Amino acid sequence: MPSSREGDTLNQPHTGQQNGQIDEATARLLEDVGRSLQQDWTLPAKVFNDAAVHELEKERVFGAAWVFLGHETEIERPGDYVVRYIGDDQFIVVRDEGGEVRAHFNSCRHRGMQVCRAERGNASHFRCPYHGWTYRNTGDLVGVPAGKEAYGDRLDKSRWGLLPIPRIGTYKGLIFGSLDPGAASLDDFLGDMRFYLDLVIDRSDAGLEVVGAPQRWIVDANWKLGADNFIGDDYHTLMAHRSMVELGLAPNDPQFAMYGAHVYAGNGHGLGLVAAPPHLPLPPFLGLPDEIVESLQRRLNPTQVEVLRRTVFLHGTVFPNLSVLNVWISKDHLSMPAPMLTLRLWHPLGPDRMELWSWFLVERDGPEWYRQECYETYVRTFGTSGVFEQDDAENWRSVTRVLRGSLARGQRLNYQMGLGVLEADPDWPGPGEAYPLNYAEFNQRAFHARWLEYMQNGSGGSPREPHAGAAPGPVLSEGVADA
Amino acid sequence: MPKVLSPEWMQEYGKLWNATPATRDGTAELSMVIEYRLAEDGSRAGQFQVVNGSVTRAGEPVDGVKPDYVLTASTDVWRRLGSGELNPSRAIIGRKVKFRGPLNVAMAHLPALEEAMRMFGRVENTEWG
Repeated sequence: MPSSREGDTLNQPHTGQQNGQIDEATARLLEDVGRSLQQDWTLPAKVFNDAAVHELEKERVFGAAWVFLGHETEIERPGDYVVRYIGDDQFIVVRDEGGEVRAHFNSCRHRGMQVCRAERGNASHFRCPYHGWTYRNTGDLVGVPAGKEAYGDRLDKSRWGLLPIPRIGTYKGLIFGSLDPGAASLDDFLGDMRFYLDLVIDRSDAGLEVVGAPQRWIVDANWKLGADNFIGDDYHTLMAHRSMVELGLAPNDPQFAMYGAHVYAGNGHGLGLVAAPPHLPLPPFLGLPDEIVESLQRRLNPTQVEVLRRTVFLHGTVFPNLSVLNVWISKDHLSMPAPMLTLRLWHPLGPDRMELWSWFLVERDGPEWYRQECYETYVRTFGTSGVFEQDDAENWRSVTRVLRGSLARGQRLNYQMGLGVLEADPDWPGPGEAYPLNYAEFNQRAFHARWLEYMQNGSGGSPREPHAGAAPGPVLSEGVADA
Repeated sequence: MPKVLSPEWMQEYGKLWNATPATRDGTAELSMVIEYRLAEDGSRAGQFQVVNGSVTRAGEPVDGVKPDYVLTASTDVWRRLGSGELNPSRAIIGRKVKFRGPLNVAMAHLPALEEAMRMFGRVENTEWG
């Protein structure tokens, strides 16, 4: 990787501190959010549909946090690449010829043209379609048409390579990037959430693989509604997904999804570990095949094994916008359930619009029936046209649409579930703060509190310390590999 | 020596079902047609009809009668279920037994379903080949 590029000296603003003051109305709203979350555990509805909030989020949340870019198996061979997004910026995430995973800003250094126009592929080089500047997949500029004639000896190609993302890191196959050169390490950012991610991503010797390209679709809804739902909303299960009951996939019991643990893992991350109701004979270990149960018992520590043994349904959110869902569920009312796994990214396109990215993953070394059944189950439940996906999206669309109204924007939303009813479980074996019932909103409150920290401070800073804000610096500088 | 799932074997199986409280009483409110199949021999299948928990017909599949439940497994898996070597629920969840049928009813009557699978080992002189 070149040690210095011209772009490193660009002092482009990306944090609120550099970009001037927050406008007065937004500042008042953020103060209101802080007061509301602390005093009466409510949230001003306006945060879910406000243009100024969205602009500030792009700068202060997505300009600072670690954001999921993809899975290493999407770019397995040298030259494999995918194009991924953080806020409005796009990156070529590529495995170079040496096997290193990199993410280059997808913009030619000459006129800023999008260098890579395909969403995925395999390439040793990327050639800009405008004037033909050509870059090796390491990002190095190696070709400039008529370079000698046009530039003489003045163009130092070593200084005009594609700009690397400021930070890139991986955790057990998951690739993240951050636009904040001063962001805490990915390990510190994920913190205790790693314990719970392992329950899903580290169960087999061969590991997970992404099957197919991620499914993507636009939902006219605010991105935070997806993150808010997946971090802890089991309460919606039997109402929003009523068809599940009517098809006989779940009992007509309003308490069905409340058993298990509602766990806040810190730093804005949280999850629900849904257990079988006492009277229902649901299988341990999410109904995973014997082969995977055997390997996870070798790979995970005893506490993780115990937590997973009790679980039939796991959902969670890695702040800000990556969610995970691993659920033992049926593809139809005549089939046995399968423990399908999906990762989803709530990519904001506007205050009332997001692109939903959805990956299907399965253990490479799982038995063939398991891989096939999980895939079919994913497609029919949480894929683009999946029945449960439609249920959720319609609710989020409706919330976002309703909250456009001037009266609606002024209301406060109730986040009081569990308040005065539940205490943290002192005997919970895993890390984080666990509540012994899944009908709770501790995680949602913590998510929005963490969002507020980013919005007010403009940087994640050290995730375990008060946020001091990012030091001024270039938006794009040399990547720092945490992997 | 009746071959597993042959008409004779199914008749014996039906008698056992009716004599076993876990299956007969456990499905007392159900009426259904169940079909067992051999994974390695698509031509061999046994079908029986349950009316209010009791088997009223057992033998070969009847033309035009669509089973409510179809359970398919290899001879070896049926044998191991009968011997207690395999847990019936785990065998279904792990697809050693392929299951097709109304899931909610099956889950609500799991003890009867499990016993029905264990009964494969109680039909006397079964020829597993």
